[in-house]
Amino acid sequence: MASKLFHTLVGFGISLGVAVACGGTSQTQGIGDDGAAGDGTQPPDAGTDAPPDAFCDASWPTTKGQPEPPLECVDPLGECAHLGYPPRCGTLTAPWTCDSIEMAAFCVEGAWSCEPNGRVPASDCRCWGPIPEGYVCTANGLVPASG
Amino acid sequence: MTVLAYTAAGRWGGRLTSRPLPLEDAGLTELSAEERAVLSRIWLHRAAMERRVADSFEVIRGALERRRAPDELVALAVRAVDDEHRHTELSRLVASRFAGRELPLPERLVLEVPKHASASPELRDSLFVVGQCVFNETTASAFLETCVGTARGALARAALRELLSDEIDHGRIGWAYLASLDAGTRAEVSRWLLPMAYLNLRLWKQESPADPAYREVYAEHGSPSQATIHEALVEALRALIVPGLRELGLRTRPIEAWLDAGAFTDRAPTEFA
Repeated sequence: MASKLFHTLVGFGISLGVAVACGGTSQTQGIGDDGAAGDGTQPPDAGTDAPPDAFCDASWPTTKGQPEPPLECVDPLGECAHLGYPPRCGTLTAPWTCDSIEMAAFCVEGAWSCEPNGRVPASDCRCWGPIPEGYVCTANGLVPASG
Repeated sequence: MTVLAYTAAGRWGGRLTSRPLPLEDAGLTELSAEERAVLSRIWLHRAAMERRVADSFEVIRGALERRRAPDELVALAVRAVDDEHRHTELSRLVASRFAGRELPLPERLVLEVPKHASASPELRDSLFVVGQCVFNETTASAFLETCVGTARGALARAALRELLSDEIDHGRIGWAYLASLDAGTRAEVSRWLLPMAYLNLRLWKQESPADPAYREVYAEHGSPSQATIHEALVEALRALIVPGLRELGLRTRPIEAWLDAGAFTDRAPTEFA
């Protein structure tokens, strides 16, 4: 099944890229009918390791999945079942800034609520975790303090 | 009551799906009220996730335009935004069918875009496209293919097939973009592949947590077990993403070493970087 998807998605995509690239300058090799990948050779390293901060970054949010958390924890009576899964909440540590721990809202009288303890909907957070030196968090996210 | 954000300029000329969803699904009547409620919540949450990915593709469109990517790829990204709005409504409709009543759209989820802080603005754009399309959307296609493989319900199968056909196009954007890059840029991208693979897998696994109350019947309606999903996620890396990256001459050894070590996500695999 994966081989079919490889040809349909990856192989077709690469072929499309080669076709639309200016002058066909792409350096890809053809994909064999058996789905085997190129000649197996590896290019030389780019010269350095992966940037350390890269492992601490956000990832693009998934398009699918099974939701969390168990609803019996946040909506034991099922009063918010008609609202779908609870929104995420964060704790404000500075203007527009929340700590890095997100938690689900609780169902209170038929509505999702981030209270108590001063939590706010994650949609009110623009930055998460400690703010790097020289930056401030604004409604538009992280910006240089000098700006 | 529902605001339909997709347009006549979209894939199906303003229609929600390529063909109408089945009006009847005998499998639904065999579900208990509790099972229907669980499936409804799952599909409604997916509606919220799809809505957020429409926002993701707005970012991708901007990145492609800044990098002067081929017009065909920009056009695909524009259409992807419309697709994701259709997916939002499609998922909400399926959730409503399980619920047995019309459900409102769930609250909008916040999009947090990767920072790629130490990358140049130009490289960051390319990393956006690779992260969202090569990793995330290719994984989504594998996820959906797995869901289709276990689904038996007419409604779920029809909805999943509609979603899958679009997600394949979204993944192609990334592969086509990578293929259009020069070797130097690809070498720069190579350094980021392991972190992006790790973060992508970690998030997908987080979004499919263990459910002690899981029932096999959920798989028949588009929600496979955690074990099935996690196996598919790793297989997507092994059988789709790594071979594609290797085909394009990118350095895949760090990802392969991490996969061979079990593709752990409880800590960053910095030893393979």
